[in-house]
Amino acid sequence: MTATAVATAAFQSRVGESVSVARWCSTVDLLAVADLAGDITLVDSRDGTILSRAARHYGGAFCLAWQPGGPALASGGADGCVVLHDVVSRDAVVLELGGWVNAIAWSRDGSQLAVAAGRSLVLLDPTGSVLRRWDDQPSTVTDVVWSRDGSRVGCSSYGGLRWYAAVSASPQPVRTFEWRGSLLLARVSPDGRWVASGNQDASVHVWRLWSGEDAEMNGYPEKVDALAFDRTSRWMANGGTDEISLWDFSGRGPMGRAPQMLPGHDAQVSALAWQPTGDLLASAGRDGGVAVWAPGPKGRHVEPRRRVELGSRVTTLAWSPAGDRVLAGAVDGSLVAVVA
Amino acid sequence: MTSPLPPTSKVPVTVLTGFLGSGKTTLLNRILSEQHGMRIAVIENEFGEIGIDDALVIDAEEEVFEMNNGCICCTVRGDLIRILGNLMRRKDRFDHILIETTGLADPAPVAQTFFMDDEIGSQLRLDGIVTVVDAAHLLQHLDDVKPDGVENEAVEQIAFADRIVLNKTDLVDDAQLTEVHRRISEINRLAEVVETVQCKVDLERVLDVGGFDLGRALDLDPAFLAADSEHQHDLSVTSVGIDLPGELAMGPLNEWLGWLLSTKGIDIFRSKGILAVSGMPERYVFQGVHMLFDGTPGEPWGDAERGSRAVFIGRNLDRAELEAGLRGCLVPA
Repeated sequence: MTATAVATAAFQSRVGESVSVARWCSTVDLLAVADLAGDITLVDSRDGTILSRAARHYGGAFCLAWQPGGPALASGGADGCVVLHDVVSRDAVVLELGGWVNAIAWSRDGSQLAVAAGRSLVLLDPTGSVLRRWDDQPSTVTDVVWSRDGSRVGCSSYGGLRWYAAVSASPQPVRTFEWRGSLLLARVSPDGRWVASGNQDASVHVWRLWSGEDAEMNGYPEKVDALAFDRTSRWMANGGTDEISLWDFSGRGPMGRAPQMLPGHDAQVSALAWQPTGDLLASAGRDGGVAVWAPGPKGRHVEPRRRVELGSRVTTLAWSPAGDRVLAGAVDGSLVAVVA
Repeated sequence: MTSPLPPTSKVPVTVLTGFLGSGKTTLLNRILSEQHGMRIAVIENEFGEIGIDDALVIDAEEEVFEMNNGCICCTVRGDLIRILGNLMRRKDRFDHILIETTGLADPAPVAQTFFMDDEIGSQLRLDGIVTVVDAAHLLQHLDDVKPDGVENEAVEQIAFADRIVLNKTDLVDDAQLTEVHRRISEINRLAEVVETVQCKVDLERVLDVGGFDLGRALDLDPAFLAADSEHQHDLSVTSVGIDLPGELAMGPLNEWLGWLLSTKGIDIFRSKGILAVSGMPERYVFQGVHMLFDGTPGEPWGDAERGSRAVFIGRNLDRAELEAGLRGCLVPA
């Protein structure tokens, strides 16, 4: 972090190890940060003051999620555990599920937590009781997603996406989107119509959720490990190279359309996040560059409206609930809140 | 031991393989306990008694998958992509990474992971595949009859090795030791064999192999490459070495190598070569794992006599066909 880079920073802070993920709480002024030392750090989201730090996941913490509407925080990591933190009492419930916990996601109403634990998809209730589990997935589960109405929960791994009825104990998936490739992450569009995956084989795959119609966007130089839908579900941004690909999902969807490319990073795009309240897109590169964009109509030349250099690979981007700041976390442990 | 590397250079990775009982765990313990001042991360998929001082030990569950690129032998290790990806993001850097695989694991997906994932390839370098074998039991393992279509893992591990630690040499007599050496070189002529008792070996001989390093001049001894018509066994995995004077033309060479690896890549486990290419002042060095191939200009020839040497290790290799193929790339004299 250089002195010239902080002009657009609301605050800076730092944790001891490489940041894996950071998330803002929507109800109180708190930021939670998970790092590869396995610590979960709570930060005052007004000024970046570190409030508490707890060693929770031996071998590294990989994922974090605030319960929608509540100040309960869930985390997972290399120890195969999910920890449910009560950030007021500082109590924690620890559940050992086995494997690496690569991803967690609350249902929209906050009543259930989906967990990717090794080769299992596990559903927990907010107290930490196991509601259901689907073991023996084809390979390690890389991500978990919910349908918009919360009736179905999906998991990605090598070979595709499998959907299960969240209320049913049936071991069989209600739907399988097969794809002979290794899916690294999955995202459902906010309108619930699409699911997209970023893949190890340098491609993006999209499915229409109800018809299963699918399309492949390939030809990227590297694996696609950053992908995000905007709040309107019209735009999907993804990495795979040093430019951001912006796909238009309006009407019949992205099939047959070319993406708009946003060049602005000097290295592979490593993180992407859309503003929850507006149309801004935050992006980061493996070289530590962070940019905030206001993508306009296709064809117009787009320059980032903000640029910040962190000097170390950015691994996570998180917008504040009000959409006025975006937090970037990096491999050297630095945290910078950029004014949008 | 070499001093810790400058932060910009790639972290070397050694793949340590061998059957249970070969002495692999003894070697691993030796590497971890010796005073070398290096921080080592070990990725293992066999539970063993491992003495850890300054090392990080991570358990891995072998997860092989095909890359979706139409090439059925382009398999990678998903577990390693995750674990190595994680190690590279940590602030505390390691000087060396060891990947221990079971005696039953296929070494190809491990090696191919370094070719197929750019993030890993840009920060780590595969230094070599080190295979530990038990001199007293190797012949028995090599002669194990497998069902059709199932590779003999002992043969496969020797075929892929850059270096072979021939352990427990004190348990065999001279005649058997000679036979073990002969059988190893029949399968793999490229790997240097280091004889040990209780895996006592200088660590730089296993941790600094440069097996995939195109910059390091390959020592392809012409004597090794001579045709071996005197012992033709019905061995399915062999080494074929070719030694050819003259100059090769780049266009036909690329075409032939491309054709060879795309049609025979499943059967060719490893390939390496130093070639004299017409108009190129440097040695053209190449190496491959199955269909994945990497070639670059290396050291200049200078006053050395120009000529081409290549070695192919694999299954059902046809020496005459390989030699004719390379010969077909010669610039007409």
